[in-house]
Amino acid sequence: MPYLAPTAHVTLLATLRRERMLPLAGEVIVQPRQRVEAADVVAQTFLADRHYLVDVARKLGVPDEKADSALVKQDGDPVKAGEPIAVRKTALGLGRRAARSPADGRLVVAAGGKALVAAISRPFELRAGIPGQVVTVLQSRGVVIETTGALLEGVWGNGREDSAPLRLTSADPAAPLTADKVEMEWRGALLAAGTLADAAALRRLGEVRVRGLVVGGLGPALLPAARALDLPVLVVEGFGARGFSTPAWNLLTSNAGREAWLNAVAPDRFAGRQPELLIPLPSPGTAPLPPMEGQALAESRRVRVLRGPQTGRVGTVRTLSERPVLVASGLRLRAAQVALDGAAGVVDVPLANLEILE
Amino acid sequence: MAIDTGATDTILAIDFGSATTRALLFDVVESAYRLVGCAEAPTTAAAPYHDASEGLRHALAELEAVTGREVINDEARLMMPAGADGRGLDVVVATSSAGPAVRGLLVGLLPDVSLESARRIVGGSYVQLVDQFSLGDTRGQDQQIDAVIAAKPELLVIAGGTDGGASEALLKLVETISLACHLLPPGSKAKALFAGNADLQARMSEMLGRVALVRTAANVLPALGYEQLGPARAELGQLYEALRLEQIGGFRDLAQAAGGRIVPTAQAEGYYVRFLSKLQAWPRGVLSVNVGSANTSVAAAWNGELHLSVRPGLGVGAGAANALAESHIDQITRWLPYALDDEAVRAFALNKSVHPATVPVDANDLWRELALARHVIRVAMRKARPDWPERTPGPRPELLPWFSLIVGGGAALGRAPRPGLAALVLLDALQPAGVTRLWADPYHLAPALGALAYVNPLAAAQVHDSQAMLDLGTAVSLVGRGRPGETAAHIKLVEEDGATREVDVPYGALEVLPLARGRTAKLTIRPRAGFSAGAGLGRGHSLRVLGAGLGVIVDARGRPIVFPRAPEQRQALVQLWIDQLNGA
Repeated sequence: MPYLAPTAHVTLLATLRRERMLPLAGEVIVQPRQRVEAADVVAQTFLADRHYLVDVARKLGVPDEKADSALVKQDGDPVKAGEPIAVRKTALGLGRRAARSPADGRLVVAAGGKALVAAISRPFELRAGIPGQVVTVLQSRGVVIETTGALLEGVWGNGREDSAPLRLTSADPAAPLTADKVEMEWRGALLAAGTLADAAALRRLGEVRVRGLVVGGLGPALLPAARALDLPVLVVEGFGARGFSTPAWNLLTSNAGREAWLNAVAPDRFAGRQPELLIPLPSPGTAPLPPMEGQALAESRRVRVLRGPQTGRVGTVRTLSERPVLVASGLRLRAAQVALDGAAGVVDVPLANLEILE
Repeated sequence: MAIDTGATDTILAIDFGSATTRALLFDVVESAYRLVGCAEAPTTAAAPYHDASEGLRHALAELEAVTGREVINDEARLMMPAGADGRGLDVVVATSSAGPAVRGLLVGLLPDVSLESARRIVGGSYVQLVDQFSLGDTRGQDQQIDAVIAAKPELLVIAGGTDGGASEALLKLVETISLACHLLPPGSKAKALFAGNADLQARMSEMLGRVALVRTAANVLPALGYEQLGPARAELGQLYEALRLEQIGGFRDLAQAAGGRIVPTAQAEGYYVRFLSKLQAWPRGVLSVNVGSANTSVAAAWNGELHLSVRPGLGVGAGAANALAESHIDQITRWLPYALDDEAVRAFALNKSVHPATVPVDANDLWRELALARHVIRVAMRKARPDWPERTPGPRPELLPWFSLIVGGGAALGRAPRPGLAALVLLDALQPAGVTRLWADPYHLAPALGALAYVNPLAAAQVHDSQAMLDLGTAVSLVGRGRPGETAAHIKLVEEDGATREVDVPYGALEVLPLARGRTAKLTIRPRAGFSAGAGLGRGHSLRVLGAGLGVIVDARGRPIVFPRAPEQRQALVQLWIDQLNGA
């Protein structure tokens, strides 16, 4: 009986497509099949710093229902601070009363005697993030970019993204990063560190202005600080003192020094968002396959253990039990015999505690 | 005794949990409906599948293997109706708690009146409150607009004004929200429910129509001092179901097979709990807690009056991280029989939330999971209790009211490897008082029977009568304080054949008197002065009890349970409690 295990991508080379979407409708400024670099702007829109509700009717001294006829701006029009949104001539046509925009920006909507103004100081520019080819333009919303490269998925991200050269903080995949080890020359790099549980180290990384952090295991107490940090943070394996798994570490070491894109989005299973590190790589001739998704657990699959004494260990499925077996917790569950890498032997792991590595 | 139904319907009940999809098959066996098999598979409503039917197909394939009955055809579609050869299905019912919590924004006039009613409208649904607006809101209109944009509501629930009463203030609030809704991302048109002043229904539809799909319901507060939640909740239920059909791939097709509906799991479970509460067997009411991966629900009912509360985002899987935010970490560690530092507990909960389907592999891992489950139940109860009737009979206002029956469901409780552990979690987390029957729901029957009751009440009743729930036994919980070792109650159990057991249960102890399933006995409880088992301080009483599960569990730990301050003593005590019930 097949089992639908989750899949984590630790992929050395694949064809990757990524949606780049504006938070609000705007303008896409690239064309299909156009090549883009990571720093290229592909779309732009206007994000409001804040909003103002203007009581047009009161400013004009008219009932709500009469204010709309005095509008001189339409929904979506740009407005300058102090510029009239609506104007009414006073008695005998000798004077004018006006409702003015309180800020530079746009008139979002005006109706029923009120006007909503979005204050906008500068446009929002959406960058490609990765070099590649635009394969789809989603009108007013964004683009899909295709590239080839390595992909490392994580389990948690703090909602930020950036691109920079990848740099390892240690030769040990489980080495804890402490404040005293943080070096000034890390400025401008995306760092990969085995574990991080030192709040001072996290602060120090912000001070030396590293561009991002990829960490195997993050100390749970640091979660609020990592969330608030003004640089992307990606947790790959989980929380606590767990370093990188061997495949993840191999991917990082083989790509050290390369330009990488750290997209540390907050994970959202329903929106299909997973935080990731993507390292663009040239394709060797024919395009590599895209990463596999949604496969069932089966013999010979590479898997990572998610829970228990072997957490983080990687191995290969030998057999799957058809019937539930008794595990040490007293539960009866379907399990897999997994041959762990190295000399760690063969262990029985509940299917629910495995993820497929692709 | 089996009843001749004359019916031969084969019924499939499906429940989509946030982590697990379950399929239950019911059929007529010896003239009455019975549960004939169940199976489960991971839920596939989220990435990479974005189609709940994929996980369902796996669950159904497993169900076919377990029961030997064919329910899907070669194209992996449900075979309906059933053929004369016994293949296929006649009736399908479906429930779901899968999907992201719906982001709800409340609007009312007075914070303590209509806003509170709006909160009660959504309290029994999988709606996560992201903001609320009322006359008590001190934010300016500009700030309110930015707040709506930041909240990105999917659902607006608006109450306020008695029929024919106040209107202008509510209209002004809604106008602000309506303007803000213009700024929500395209494709995210909210749904709105108006259950306020009936005179404003048309106006609300006009104001919000451009930015939201508007439904109206009878005023939740039609007159001062009179609250009617039913119509608004029913309308909200339909809005919620419609939203889920849009959001979750595969649900539209499945809903067609299931009579057009995929009922919210908590609502279906509540329906079943209400049914139970009308039975003479449970005169002091029924309490059900369902601890899921991402959501936890509490349903309490007395004589048909249901109080349903859902905590979206709180659970023992995807919702585990949120459990950390609710209390100090020692509220979890106090249930552990060994030392574990706070960071390890946090790491456990956070890792559970990113890998919600994982299961405990050894005893210590299991104790962690069950400690988290106890905490989640207690947090969920904090939300549920304020909406219960004020004069619900009980030992003391701060303690749980009397309940005749407590049902524990959801992954953590249903998965407890021994009945004694499920009983212990319920006793620890809920700390009932008096005499209470304890059930566990390992097959997730409660929502299935609730949903089934809408379309085939007879089948639901017959499956219920078949005692498919896991009966854990009768708990006698003593309220009071004493010195450790001092007798709290004298218990006497006399079986029909005269076999008698008597025991003095010391304060602080758990004692189990086995009583095999199917046997009956006379249970006499004589609390010592200062203790009560539901009949008053120091007052004894006798009752007939049916044997099942552990038999009779006497919980003389007092209420609330007091823990030793020294960690080693506390851990040893918790281990003792586990040993007393886990080995029973």
